[in-house]
Amino acid sequence: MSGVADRQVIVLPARSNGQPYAVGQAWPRRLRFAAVPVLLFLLWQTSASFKLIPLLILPSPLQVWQAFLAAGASGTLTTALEVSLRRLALGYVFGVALGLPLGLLFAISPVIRKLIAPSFWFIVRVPLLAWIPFLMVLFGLGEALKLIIIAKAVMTPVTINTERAIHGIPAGWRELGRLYRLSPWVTLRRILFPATILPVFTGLRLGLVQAWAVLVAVELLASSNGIGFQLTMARQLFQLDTMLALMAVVGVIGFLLDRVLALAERRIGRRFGGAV
Amino acid sequence: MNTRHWHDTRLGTLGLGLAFPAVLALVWQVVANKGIIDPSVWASPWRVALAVSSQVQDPQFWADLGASLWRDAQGTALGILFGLTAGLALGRSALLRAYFGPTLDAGKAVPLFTWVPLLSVWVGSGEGGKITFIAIAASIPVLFNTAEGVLSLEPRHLELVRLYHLGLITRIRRVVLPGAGPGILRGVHQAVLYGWLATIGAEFLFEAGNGIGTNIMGARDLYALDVVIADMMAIGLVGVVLDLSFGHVERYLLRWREDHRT
Amino acid sequence: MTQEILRLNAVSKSFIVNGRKVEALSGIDLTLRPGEFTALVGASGCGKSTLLRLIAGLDTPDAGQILLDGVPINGASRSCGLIFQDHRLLPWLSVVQNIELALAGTKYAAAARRALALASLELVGLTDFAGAFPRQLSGGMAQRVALARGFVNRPRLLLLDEPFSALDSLTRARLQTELLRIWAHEGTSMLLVTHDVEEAVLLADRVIVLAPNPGRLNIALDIDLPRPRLRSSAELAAVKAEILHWLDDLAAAA
Repeated sequence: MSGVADRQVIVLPARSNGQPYAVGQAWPRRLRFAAVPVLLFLLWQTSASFKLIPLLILPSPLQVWQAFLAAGASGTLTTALEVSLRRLALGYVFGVALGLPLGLLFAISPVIRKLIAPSFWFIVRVPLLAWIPFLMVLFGLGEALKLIIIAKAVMTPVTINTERAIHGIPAGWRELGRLYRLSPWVTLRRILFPATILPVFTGLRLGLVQAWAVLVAVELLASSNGIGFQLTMARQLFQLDTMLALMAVVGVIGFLLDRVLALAERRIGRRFGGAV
Repeated sequence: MNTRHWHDTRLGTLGLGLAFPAVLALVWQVVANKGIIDPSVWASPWRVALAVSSQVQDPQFWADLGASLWRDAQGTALGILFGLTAGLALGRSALLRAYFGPTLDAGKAVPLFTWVPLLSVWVGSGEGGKITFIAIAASIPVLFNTAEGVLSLEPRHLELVRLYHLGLITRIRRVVLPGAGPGILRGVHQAVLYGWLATIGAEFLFEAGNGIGTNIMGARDLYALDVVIADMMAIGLVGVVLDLSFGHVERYLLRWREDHRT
Repeated sequence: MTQEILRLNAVSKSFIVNGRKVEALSGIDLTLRPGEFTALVGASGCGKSTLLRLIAGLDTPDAGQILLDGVPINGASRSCGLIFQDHRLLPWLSVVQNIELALAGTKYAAAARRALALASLELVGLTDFAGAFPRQLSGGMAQRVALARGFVNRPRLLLLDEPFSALDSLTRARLQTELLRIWAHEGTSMLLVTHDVEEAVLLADRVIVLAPNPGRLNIALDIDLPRPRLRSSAELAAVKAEILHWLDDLAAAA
């Protein structure tokens, strides 16, 4: 999914008079994105300096920074991150291991598709969180609960995109394979793989981003460790400085996961872009 | 390749779709009857069916479901309204996009539920916090999809605006809104689903009040798996109904397109 | 001096392409008489479409003056219609709504607009498709709807930018006849841009040849063949050959 800012890199079509669209030139172009965050930060700092909002409700930037350092020094942050990221990795692997074959099966076998897809869709449509109480009864607050939830979150986009990718292979290309009597291996390497890699990767990216989002939710709700749990702790102890610092960490990780994979996706798109 | 199989018929498709859950339920029931699984934890399908029927007759269940839906409707409506306005503005103005786009993109990457603790402190853990949270959840897909929809307006269509001197109202009603329609509707469709997810999430995470989310958590505390499953099915059913009915609205409004199949 | 509907005085236009200034049109002088059918032919890229867009008021010239009925144009004008190469129907509006779009902002009430749109649709023989969406029309039908939209607000001058070039040759022939019929009926002044010399000779009272790089007027030729003209007539073929010869010479000179 491309975001609003991504649109900046798209070259705007020339205006009918042949001149490129002139977008406001008040700020140096490359720095304009920073204007809003800088302004927000200044507002925040001003509020803290003049205590416009009680520091208990909105701590100063410095307090948040110190809370971040303190959480890092005491090891709470690193331990929590380690727990959360391990969960993320394990749940992600499970989700992909389920989602890829399932999407493949849906795409190549109409019978299996008709057998399982309706149940799959119902499971997808039940909001993820509604599964949590159910799984809590069965598995308690243990690791299994979190892994199942994450795996399910990953599986959904992976399955859907894999199926779509295979269905999206142009029929003409497959005919090309038959026409030139390509071996299955060459067909896979030269036709099937390049034609499907991009949408499949999109599924993998969406899966990872969703996994992180869901992990935080599960840890907020039903966990005794991990970054989400620490966030709940900070909330209950009314340590808003720690809370904001942890929120920033969660946000930055989510942002990085999304960005790194989006970058990879763009590369794959450039390499195999004409494929779809 | 084009031969018709038995499973291509309507009945075949339906039968296959139902076969999987039916077999699953049967196995589950048999296993429960033989006492292989712990009956104090695992409810049998029969007990779930009983729980469903007792829930359906319980006015408290309907009151909770109604409360959740009302909360969902308020939050989602607010979110859609905000998302639509901001999305239209962003889509039409390259300047706004340059300044706000990257910040919004970064904000989108922050997991939604991360905002819960903050909102519960700033807005409160009661109804206000819940509705704000639902509104945020619903506004995100609307905002981004509306902006994309407006950006996808074709210059050659916009040229008609100049050629025929279309006024603001006609321009928005006849050109901008329908042109951006596919994007807007995609966003609103997602918002409806996100809104429902956020409603359940809000009821779990903010202070307990009324609502189906509170109901299901109460059942969990009592280890009443049959009630949990019954509630879960109700929540799922609402999601499915919202999804399907909005899908119909979407297809109707986009009937002018060739490729409205999803 | 004859009456004139459109006058261009030394009109020039250039574009910036890849940071380089490219002159598209240079010193165009042109006069159109009311009710006359004029065709503008030239190789692709000689600025024909640019000229039409300037007259339609969608672009502005760098230098020179464009007078419509003696008044300098200022943006798109209601008394000047434009038909594009693609039909430009909005896919989300029905056929009749698309035609009504050209009447938006006029003094007419909704009912009158509907009546005018339907009358215009009748002119092109598509009354039965008033409620259809553009995707349900064939290419030729869609272009006929575009014609109906072009004529609906009774422009003094109708500009046609290669309106039939995207159609197959049978449909094109049928629409050319159709256009002549409507022109005879409405008496609108027409300015047709085309690269199809046969089309120009078949339809126009006067053919103007545009030379490329930069686009400038080369010759104007009055076609005084009697109407209705036959595509297969020897006279028409002779005029066509003459114009093609001119174009060849221009291409060789460039």
